[in-house]
Amino acid sequence: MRRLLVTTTVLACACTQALSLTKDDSPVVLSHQLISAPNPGEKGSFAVKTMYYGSGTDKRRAEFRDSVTIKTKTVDGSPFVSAEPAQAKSKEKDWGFPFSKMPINGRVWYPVGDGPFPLVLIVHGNHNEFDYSDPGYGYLGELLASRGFILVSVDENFINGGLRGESDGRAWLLLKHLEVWKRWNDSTGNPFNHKVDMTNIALMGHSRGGEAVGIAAAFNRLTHYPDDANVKFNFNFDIKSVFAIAPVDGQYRPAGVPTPIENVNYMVIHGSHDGDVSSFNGLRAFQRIKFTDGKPWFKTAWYVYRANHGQWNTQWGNKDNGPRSGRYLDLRGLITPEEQRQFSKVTIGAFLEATLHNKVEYLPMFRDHRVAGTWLPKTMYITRFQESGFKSLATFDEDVDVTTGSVPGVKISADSLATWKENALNLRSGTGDALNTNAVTLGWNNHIRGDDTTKIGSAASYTIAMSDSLAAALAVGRESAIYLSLAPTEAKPGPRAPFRDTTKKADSAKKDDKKPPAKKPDAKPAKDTTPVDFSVELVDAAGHTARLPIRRFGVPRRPLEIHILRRKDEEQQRYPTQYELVLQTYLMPISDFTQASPSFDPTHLRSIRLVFDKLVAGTIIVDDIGVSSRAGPFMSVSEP
Amino acid sequence: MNLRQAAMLAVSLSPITLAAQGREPFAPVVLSLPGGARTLALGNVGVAGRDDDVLFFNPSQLAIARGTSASVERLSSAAATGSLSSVIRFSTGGVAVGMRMADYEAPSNFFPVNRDSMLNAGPGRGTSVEAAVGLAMVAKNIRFGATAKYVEDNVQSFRAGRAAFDLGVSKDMLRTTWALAVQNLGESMSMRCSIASAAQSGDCVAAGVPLSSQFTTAQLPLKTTLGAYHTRPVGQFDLAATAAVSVLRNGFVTPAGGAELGYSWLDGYSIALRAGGRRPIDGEGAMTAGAGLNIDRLSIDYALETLSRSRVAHRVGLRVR
Repeated sequence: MRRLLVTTTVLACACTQALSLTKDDSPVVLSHQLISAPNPGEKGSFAVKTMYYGSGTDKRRAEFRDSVTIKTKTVDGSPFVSAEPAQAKSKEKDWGFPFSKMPINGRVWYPVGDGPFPLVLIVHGNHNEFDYSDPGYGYLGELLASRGFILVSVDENFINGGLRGESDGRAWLLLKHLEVWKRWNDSTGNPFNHKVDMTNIALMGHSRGGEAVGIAAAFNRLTHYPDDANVKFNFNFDIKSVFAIAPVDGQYRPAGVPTPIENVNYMVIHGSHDGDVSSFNGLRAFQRIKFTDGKPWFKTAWYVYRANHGQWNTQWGNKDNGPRSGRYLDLRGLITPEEQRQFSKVTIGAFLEATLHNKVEYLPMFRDHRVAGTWLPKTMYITRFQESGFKSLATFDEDVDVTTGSVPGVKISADSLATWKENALNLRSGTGDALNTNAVTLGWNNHIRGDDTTKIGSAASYTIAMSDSLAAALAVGRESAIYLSLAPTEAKPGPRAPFRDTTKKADSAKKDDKKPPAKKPDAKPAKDTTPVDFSVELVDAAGHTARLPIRRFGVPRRPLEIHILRRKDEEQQRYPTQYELVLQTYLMPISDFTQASPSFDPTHLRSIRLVFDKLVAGTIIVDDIGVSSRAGPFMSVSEP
Repeated sequence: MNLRQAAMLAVSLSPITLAAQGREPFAPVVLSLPGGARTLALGNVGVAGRDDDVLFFNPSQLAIARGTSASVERLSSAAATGSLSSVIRFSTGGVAVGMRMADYEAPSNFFPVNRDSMLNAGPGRGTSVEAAVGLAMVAKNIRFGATAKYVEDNVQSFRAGRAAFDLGVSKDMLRTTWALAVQNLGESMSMRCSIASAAQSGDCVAAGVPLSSQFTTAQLPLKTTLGAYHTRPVGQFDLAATAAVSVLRNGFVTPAGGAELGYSWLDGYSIALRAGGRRPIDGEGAMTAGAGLNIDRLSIDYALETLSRSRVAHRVGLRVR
């Protein structure tokens, strides 16, 4: 018996992974605080009150039965939410109402004052329907109300549980809540009369709620429900901002296509150690968002190392798949719930202050998070960013010709690269989980193959050249900026072939041929911990150059190691890679280049070149190369 | 056929069962023996089980059962039994093969033995064998299954064999598996009286007839069982409970049941404690108990069953899922 126990213990330990995390560089990366505005994660000056509104008949929760300040009518959600008859019957029995009589229940944190205050709705995602999710954002309610926002945590617990394909219903319910608020704001005698700034609305959602807020932003502008045109919409609210917390994506596809989202400020956050939505699904929504109306919008995506799915909500906790999921989820690597919520308070606070209160002083942290180092919990972040002034030069999505860019007039070339290919990006779950965007992979090794291991060739490079007409159309100037998103990988190409002198005599060439073939590079990329760096070089029409290292504008990190499951074999079986490929966006002010090289004339910019002169060998994946002349507010604070 | 119709069939079969009684005892003895270590610990209730050894209890559950297992049981110093079964996915259900065998000493040329008499030491040697092939399919969320098997009793170098059949139906309702099985349908077995002792049969006492031309006969232990299996989490534990009631050919009704409390500290690894009770037939005791250890796809199970006259038997099993 003792032997059996020992054997079992050994087997169990063998299957359990040792805690493995990427070395934390945050003490260096987050050592600066360059924004001087008040910390958006700290409470503001307003006194805060709370209230409930709802049906007043809730059979399960006293707050929506006995404590409602304002009663609301039920709505018919049956066109959007359905279930098998037995499940629908069970739901009705559990909650006391069918899908055709959904309550409009909300818990509200609001500032004491005359207003009008921007209105922010937050909605939870799927969870145990009887472990109510809506109280879990109280910490945000206290924060935001004190900073002059009305926060409503919307109750959608009654469509939690085992339902499928109900994300459109979650979205539609949010818009029905907005209708109620509009009515109250317009009604004399209502406590919220003229206190709600209906021109500044934000929607926030978590998990399935995170997808729902994007759908709501899309529905808001439609006149008909895409899946049944007999259902008419008439919302048209001024939704300025959408914030998605660890969202799913694609569970609802209006008319069979990904939900199109346009002309809103959008932010998505996701934890690397999310045990529920284990891929950064929100990146797909980030990629899809388009700015078409010429207004100053922006979108940003933050990947938070060691954050999970549930700790954004105080009710959900650290076990992302229920109270028993500690059996298989590795919880040891998680940052604390307090740290995780400090992050959400800072980013949500700053995002809403910037987009609804127009406090532009917070904008630079979305371009480069290093400028808010003391506000953010000490962990690692990878951030994507794009504002509506972005003009693409190369997004690698348009064709299969690697020498063409996204717009006519772009010519792409490369010199001495070992790897140059364009391919589709996938999320961590693999090829079945496409990110729906292509990128270019660039690999280099400046070593020359041969016995002399110190022999280094010229630095490999990759050039995006612009025609004169395109350069004129882009109107690049000293206030413009260069965009680039990239992620280093672990791959390391072998040394490059020596340059062959074709002027040599034929017999000497033959002699060379007799040499034994060079050893092939290892197929398996070696693990390299050398910091990744290279130069970005701008060239003007006269041939003047300005060159700066990429590290100046951000940290090009190798992939962050992720182990979500306790069992190594299950982790490897479920995920093809032990990292999520998230590209970091670098927004590089052209003024920095002119400062470094005064002879360079940005108004005649002709090419952007990546020169791999800092690291002898490496591979990076690059996407979304472009320029912008409207990124000024995001660059008001210089990089550390 | 829905569950109600299946229940009607079972009820209608019971009178046939009862009407056919009177030919005691039953043979072969292997059909009265346990089929697996885990099920034995649960009162030997397996009619709604989900492991591969459900082949020996209810073929309809083969539609959801997966794995391969082997188990052996020491019944006494003179008797032992073992089983082997394996089930794989097939179409909408599953197909399984299995074998059970019992080896025992007995008073010389004794046929048939039962669970009690097989425990005794004796100069004779007997074996009892079952080889089974089962198939299950799913239609309209109801699982149907049938098992065809060959059963045989050997006494010394002589044997008596028969084909037999099991039928089963099961369905999940109210988070519980409900199952009905009719087992051991087939003709009776017989053995020449010159070989077998007629101690428990009146067949070999016909006056004036030479013993060599007479036969002793035993019926197959026809059994109809209705049972249920339910599992649910209880805090950090996993609770499983099963219960069944069986009607034997002779009208004997045997209720039985068991429960299992499991705990997993790492996905794929768990331990379980089990206990069961039953209304015993000849040779059996009322209580069963056991424990299990799950190491990923491998399970090691131990079961204990009480036997008549305060005896205890031990069974160990290995299962690979």
